[in-house]
Amino acid sequence: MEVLIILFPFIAFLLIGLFGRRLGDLPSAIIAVLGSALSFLFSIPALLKALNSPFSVKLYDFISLGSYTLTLGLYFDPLSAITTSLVCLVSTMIFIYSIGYMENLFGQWTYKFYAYLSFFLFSMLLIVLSDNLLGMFFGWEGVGLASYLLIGYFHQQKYATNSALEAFVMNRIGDWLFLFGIFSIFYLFGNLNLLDIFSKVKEIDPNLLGLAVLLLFGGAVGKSGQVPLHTWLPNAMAGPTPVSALLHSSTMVAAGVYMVARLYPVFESAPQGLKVVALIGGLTALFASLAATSHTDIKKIIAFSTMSQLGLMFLALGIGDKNSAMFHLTTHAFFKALLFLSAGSIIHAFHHHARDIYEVGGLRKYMPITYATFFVGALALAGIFPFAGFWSKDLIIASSYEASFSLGVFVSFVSFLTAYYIFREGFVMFYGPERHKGHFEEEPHEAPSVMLVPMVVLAIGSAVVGFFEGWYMDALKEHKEMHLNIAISSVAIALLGIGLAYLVFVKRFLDPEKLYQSLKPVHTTFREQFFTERLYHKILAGGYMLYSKVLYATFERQFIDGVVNSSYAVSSALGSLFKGLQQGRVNLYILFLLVGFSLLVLITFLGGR
Amino acid sequence: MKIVPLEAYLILSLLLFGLGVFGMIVRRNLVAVLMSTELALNAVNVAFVGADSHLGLVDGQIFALFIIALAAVEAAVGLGIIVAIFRLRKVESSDELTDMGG
Amino acid sequence: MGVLLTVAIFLPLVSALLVAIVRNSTFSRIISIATSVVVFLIAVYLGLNFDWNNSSFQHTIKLPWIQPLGISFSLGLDGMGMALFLLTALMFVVAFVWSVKIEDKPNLYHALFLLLETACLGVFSALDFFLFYLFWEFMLIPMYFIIGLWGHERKVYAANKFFVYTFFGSIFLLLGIASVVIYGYIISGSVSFDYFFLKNIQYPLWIQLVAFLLFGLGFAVKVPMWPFHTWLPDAHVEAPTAGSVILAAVLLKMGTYGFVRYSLPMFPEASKYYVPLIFFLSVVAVIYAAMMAIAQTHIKRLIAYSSISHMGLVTLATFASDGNALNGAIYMMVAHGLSSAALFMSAGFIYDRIHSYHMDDLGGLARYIPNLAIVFMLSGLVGIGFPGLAGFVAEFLILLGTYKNYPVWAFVAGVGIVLSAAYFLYMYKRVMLEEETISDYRREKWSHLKDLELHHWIAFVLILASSVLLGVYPLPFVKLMEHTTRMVFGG
Repeated sequence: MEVLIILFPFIAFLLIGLFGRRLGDLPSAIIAVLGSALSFLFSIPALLKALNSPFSVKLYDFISLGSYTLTLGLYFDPLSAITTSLVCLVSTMIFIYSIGYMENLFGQWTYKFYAYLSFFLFSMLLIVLSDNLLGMFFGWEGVGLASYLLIGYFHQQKYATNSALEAFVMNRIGDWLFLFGIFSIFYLFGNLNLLDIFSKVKEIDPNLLGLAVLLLFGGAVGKSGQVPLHTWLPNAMAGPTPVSALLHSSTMVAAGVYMVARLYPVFESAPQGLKVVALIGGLTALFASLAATSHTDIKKIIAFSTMSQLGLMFLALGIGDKNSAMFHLTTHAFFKALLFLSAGSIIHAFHHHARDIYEVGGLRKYMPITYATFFVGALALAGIFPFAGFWSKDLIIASSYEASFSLGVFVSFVSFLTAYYIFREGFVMFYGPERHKGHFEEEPHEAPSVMLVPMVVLAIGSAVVGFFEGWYMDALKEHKEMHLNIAISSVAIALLGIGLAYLVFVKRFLDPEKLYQSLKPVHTTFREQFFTERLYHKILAGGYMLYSKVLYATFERQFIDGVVNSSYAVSSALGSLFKGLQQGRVNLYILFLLVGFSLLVLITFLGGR
Repeated sequence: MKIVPLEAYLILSLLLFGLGVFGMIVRRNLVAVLMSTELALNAVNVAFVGADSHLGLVDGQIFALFIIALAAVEAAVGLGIIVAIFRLRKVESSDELTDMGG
Repeated sequence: MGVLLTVAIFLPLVSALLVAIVRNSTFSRIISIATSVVVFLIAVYLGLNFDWNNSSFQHTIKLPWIQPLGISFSLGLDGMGMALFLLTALMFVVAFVWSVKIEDKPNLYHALFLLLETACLGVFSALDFFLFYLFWEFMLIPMYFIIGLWGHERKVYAANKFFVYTFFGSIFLLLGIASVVIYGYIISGSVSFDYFFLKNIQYPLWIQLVAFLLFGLGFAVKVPMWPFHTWLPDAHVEAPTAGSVILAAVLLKMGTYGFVRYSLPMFPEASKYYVPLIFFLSVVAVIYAAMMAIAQTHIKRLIAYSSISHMGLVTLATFASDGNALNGAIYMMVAHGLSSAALFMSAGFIYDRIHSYHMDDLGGLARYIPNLAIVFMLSGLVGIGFPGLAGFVAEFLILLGTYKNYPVWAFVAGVGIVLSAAYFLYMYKRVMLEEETISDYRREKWSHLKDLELHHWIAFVLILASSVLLGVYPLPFVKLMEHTTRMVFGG
């Protein structure tokens, strides 16, 4: 029965994929929404059941590896069940939203979009619910494919297809590492089933386990866009905004975090591995938030924000606080999706022409609801009481201070930057001069209700989910205390960031343009992601291409094939040599006859002796 | 009856054979090649007959008769081919007949 | 059952004779499709009656043939043989279905393919060295004509290269066979070409080392292993579509089949000894060929290099001394056969419509032939090892198995999954996507393009459905491979 949770989106995918052209775009969209909504509905009873006692659902025997038979199945415990419901809820909201967002593309085979989305949901649920590493890998690659198809949805454009290619290949690098992590686990445990692994984890040599964990984490780095496999995430914004909202903020990229949390007993037993997780998470958190302060693309700022928040989640995981990381993932799903949907509302208002925050301005007059939802999301992201982000971020900051004071300061600094950049975006877009008058013809108007309702739902979620912290922690069998001093200081730091943004971009206390000019090299470094993107594209990828082409033209063609073709030349030459003996003149033949005969006679005589 | 020594026959035969073979190799005119062939064949005849006269056998002479007959046949066929070639190509020199060459 | 096997193998030969005599080309098309379907059904029947718990060759038949030389007409199938037999039968059905619209000398074309089918089926079933070599060599002749008569611009060069190069390798194979038969005679007093007899002899190490190289060179050219691979890109580029399908799906498997059937069980110590060499060549093949692939602008040449890359994984896993790896190697033979056939069919379809294989002449096609776009993408996904499709199960088993004894080699070879995604998607992008970059002239010309027709759909569905089946429910198929693996390692 619980199998239906993953089957609904898959059936939706098949229906839309096979019959979408005949059904039409709107019916296809509705099927997708239904698939997702039904999954959500069915996930609730499963959740309630799992809270009491976790259970497994076996699917079928997949393969035999020597004496071990791998059976695919699903596992429902509080972690997976809550995440499932979360994913289904956010998906449903975004699917509904996309009916309005993609409306101008209806009639141009937009049913494909919904097919891809449904396939994505199916794969994502496989990741969350699989009871074994192979099933999880199935979903892992599946979401990668969905991401490729969706980022490159506007496949007429070169920028989109390039971004999609980059995303898939970078993800694959992570997948390569992940796969070998799975192999390592298999040889260490003789098993790929999660429960069996958890029961045996204490018996395994921590050093070997450390290697396995590093490899597995490599997969998470790729999937979640952490440094060094990060450059694909900002470019993934080439896809339609619902895709950015769903895949590249709340769900798919969170799969990396989920995987580490899911396999936490394994990670915990390899403490060196956890250090790496924390290191990369922290590094990415800072890196991305610096980049976010320097970008002006509407969606990219939010994308870097995602990268940064994921970094914080990995940091939390690395310092031993799995549940804070997962709770932050939950709240983040709400407010990040909300931020993207709000951004999408603006983009939609300008008929998909708006790209840069400086192309618009003063929008709060025209789009009040979008304004409200954006700032709810921003407040949640910044971690202001009572919004959801406050609760989850507070937990992480608290854990950081517990681990080490400097770590706590570090995370606080990242929070400061976070508050700054998101409110920078908000203030530039919704306050100030109405720059769009110079750029676009369209008069901005509020989004249609099919888009607004999901936004409002998510806004409510962003406001309210935080209060469920206690319930969440109980479900995950942990108890968290609220530290009042940390709570106050974190809100204060966030307010500082907001204040700075307000002063610079609204009150113009410091002229942003002059500031920008004087700090240009710093800005540029941040914006170019410390030039990693250029490095990857021009030197690594470009170098690989160039080297391949040169190798082909020289070694392959000239040398290897040269040897082969020269064998032809050699035999040809030899043949020509002997060809000279055949003159065609009878006289010569007679001579040869004579000579040969004489030789024979000679040999006979000599032999006879 | 041994007026002519055996060596004389053999030397004559050798010389004649040598001339014939030399002619076969060197001469360009096809008829000349044919004539040289005849010469070589007849040189062999001389050797056979000379040997016979000294050994008192008749085998060599019978063989010589065979060779004469064969030479005649071969000359007929050869001349026929040469005439056909001449009629077709208007050449009689082996220099110009190199179609079968590489 | 052995009789049934013989019928299945020689039925195409009989049909070839029929087709050669008959004038009517429609009749020949029907005969060929019918024959291939019948053969396939027999193959399925044999497969369903295959008892994989019984560790011996099945559906056997052995008749005395040239007794003074110890040559018998001996056929039979084990797990791997059964799998490749099924694959071959299926691929010929696909090839004939795809070729229904051939206009140029159709009778000769179909007759040649039918002959080829007999030869290919025979290679995988022969249990007598002489018979094996006979089929092995015989398969070259129809393929030579297929490339040389129905190919593209440099067909003669490619056909010659294919024939001479492969034949050159086969000479070493012949020497190898001769050496083991002679050794068999020396130690037992009787000459025999029987597979089981020669397999069970314990060859001294030095003989193993030499014979392994002799057999190995013959197989290596066929696989093709680096650096003996350069005949393949040219052969594929110039061959007609159905020719490429059979070349990639069936002929290439013969080399790897040979390694598993002959080299590994007969020369176990030599196999271990040569591991560093084979691993080096295999990993080079995986990575080098992937690099060559991404450097290409000719679609078929790219797919040819991707075949070389995948075969590198197969040779790696074959000699990795692990059951899972060997299972994976055999699985990859099947999976790769399916995926490269589908890719070549996609390329062939593009050529049929646009008359070019060069990426400079293409681009943005997804809009004009959307069905092909879907099928092409699916074919590529099988090839790059996407889970849920056959290629993934194969790569998973190969890498998992090799990782056990040779972790670093496996890890390095594993980068192939990244490189293959790169070259395939890069090609797909340049051919099917980025419509904004194409000229108005092309837009005009291509707006009238016809999409996939019925026979195309049948061919693709046959392959893709099999790929999905093997990807989603591999358990029974792995058991089939396991049958051979058990005999090679345990038996």
